[in-house]
Amino acid sequence: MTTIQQALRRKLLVALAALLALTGIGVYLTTRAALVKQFDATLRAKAIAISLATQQDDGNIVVDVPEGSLRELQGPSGNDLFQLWRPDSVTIVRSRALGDRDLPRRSSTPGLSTLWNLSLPSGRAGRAIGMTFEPHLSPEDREEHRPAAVPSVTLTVAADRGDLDRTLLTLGLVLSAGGALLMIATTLIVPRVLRRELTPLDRLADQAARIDAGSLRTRFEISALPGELAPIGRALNDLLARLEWSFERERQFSSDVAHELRTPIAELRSLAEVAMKWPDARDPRTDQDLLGIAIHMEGIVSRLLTLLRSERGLLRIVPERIPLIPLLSGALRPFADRIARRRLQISLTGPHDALVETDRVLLQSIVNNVIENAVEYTPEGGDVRVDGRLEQDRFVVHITNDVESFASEDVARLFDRFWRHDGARSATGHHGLGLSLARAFAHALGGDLTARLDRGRRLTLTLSGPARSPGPAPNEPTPTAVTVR
Amino acid sequence: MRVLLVEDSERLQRTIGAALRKSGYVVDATGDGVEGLWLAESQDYDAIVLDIMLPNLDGLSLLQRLRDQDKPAHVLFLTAKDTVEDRVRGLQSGADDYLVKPFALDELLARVQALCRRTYGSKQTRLLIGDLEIDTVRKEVVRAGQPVPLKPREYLLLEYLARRAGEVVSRREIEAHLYSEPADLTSNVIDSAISSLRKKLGQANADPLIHTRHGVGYVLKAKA
Repeated sequence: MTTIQQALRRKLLVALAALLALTGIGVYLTTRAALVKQFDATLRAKAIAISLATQQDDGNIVVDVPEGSLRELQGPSGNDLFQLWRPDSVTIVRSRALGDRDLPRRSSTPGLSTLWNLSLPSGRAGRAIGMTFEPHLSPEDREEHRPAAVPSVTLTVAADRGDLDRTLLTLGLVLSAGGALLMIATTLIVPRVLRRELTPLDRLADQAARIDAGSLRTRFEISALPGELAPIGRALNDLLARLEWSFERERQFSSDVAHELRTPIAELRSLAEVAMKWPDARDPRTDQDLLGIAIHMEGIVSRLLTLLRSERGLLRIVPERIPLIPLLSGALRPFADRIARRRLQISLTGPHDALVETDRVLLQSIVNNVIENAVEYTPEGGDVRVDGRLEQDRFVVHITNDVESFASEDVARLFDRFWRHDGARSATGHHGLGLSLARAFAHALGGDLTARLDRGRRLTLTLSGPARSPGPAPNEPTPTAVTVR
Repeated sequence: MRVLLVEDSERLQRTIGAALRKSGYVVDATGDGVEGLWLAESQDYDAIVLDIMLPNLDGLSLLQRLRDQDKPAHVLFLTAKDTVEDRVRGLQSGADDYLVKPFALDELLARVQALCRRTYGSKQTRLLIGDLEIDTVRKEVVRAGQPVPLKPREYLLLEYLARRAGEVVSRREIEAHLYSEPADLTSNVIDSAISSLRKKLGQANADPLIHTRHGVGYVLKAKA
């Protein structure tokens, strides 16, 4: 596995090496060009000086090398050499240091010069300039106005380039050594800097590695992270929040189930223990109680399973055309006795021709649950209003009823599993799952079930959903029978 | 011993009530928090078995109100809430004991008995008054080395008097702790129970143990 650190280190070092090499070569080449140019200028100056010192006097070519600047040309050191030829290649004059050896002769167009590298007669490396020119007339000849039949002469001036080469070599060495030192230093420093600058990443990884199911409350401190890591930290924090929520939900669910089953189990156990401890005084209701407890527990389990199935989207929707108002009035019918006994005022409103195309079983379950709750919790003599209609392409059912001692916090908890308004448990025979199921079914129908409390005394549950259900998708699991009391 | 049971599961109310009554307690039971509070305020109970999730008034608030009124009743929470926080909250709110559902019936009975013992400032399960010895666990009575067979109601009366040995116990107190229906004070239910108890304890040459304080009540002590 490649780490960012390794990749950064490798790429940085390669890039730096290339950069150093290019810079070094660039510096070397420009410096060399500048030095050679200067060398050539000096060489040319000498050649020009010689050409100026060359005169034609009475048919003869005379070179009057002045003292001073050009002395080296005549000196014995042999560092600077020159040779002058007549057009017929006869040497007119040459440096004394040449003895009878020749310099190479390269004629050129008059006024121009050629430069080249050569090996000096002494065997050392040198550079030469060759030019062809017409010597000017001597002052005497000029006075006599002799016609100028001036022959061109060819000059070669050569100089030892040892100094130049040594300077260039030193420069090359300095550049290479500097580059190499820089590379070594960088190789040592870059990993350290990288390691240091990447510690927040290591810390992040370390902190992330320590997170398990028990520490989902941990959050990364975004302000302590460098800018590049902050989005990762935020994303991790979001992920943790989601995980924590779903773990909490699962934990809550398990604990709810366990809690919910404790009371019936306690009933079962104490019934059995009392019957065993005092067999003579056996309560004749014991068997009936046992059956009641079994049915209650069965109810809890089957509702929980339905709820889970619904939440996992495993319910099959079979759409059919359902007249809304008859469905609602049908849902009210089973409660007629209770409604009469508790003197509840019931009203059912809405257009009678409203047709909904959705799953009948689920819709029926939702409506039954909500209406049962309304009938159950409306205080005696209170009123329950049911209204169903189509609004654009959605069906909307409002079920409004009076409530007593109902707080706004209760609205938020209304759809929680196992929540009961009065805090009572199994005594009423309710499992506290009806509205959770109803909401899950509403979601399965592509709709929603919401609650609203008005002025603390009227509770409205609103069921809404698409008036035309999209229908079952292909390859769905086999239909699930849903029965909710 | 009078015990209040506040439990909203009707079945549990019945079975626990039956078990307590069989064990010799006088039991008042209700499934409603407000009614439970009303009962606890109007009677002195030796122990209260209280559920937490109750309709109308939850067990924690009920206990809080009792403690606000300085009611010293010993309270055992009997609840399905089983987390450590729940237990801690229950005990910190002034409960004496906490039992999680489902529970073993014998454990509940033993805990209720322990609470009742505490009501009389004694942790003894064996009470000794002179030559009288009462084993409150096995509910057996021995006087001067001889076992004394007693009916349950007689035993309860004796244990109650013995728990408060040396104190004058009024007929009203005896009634409140031992009889579920208010006895007609002019009736001689308590007098006849005392007299039958005296008869059974009255071994030959033995000193009387139960003394009458006319117009006040009875006192159990070794010497008059």
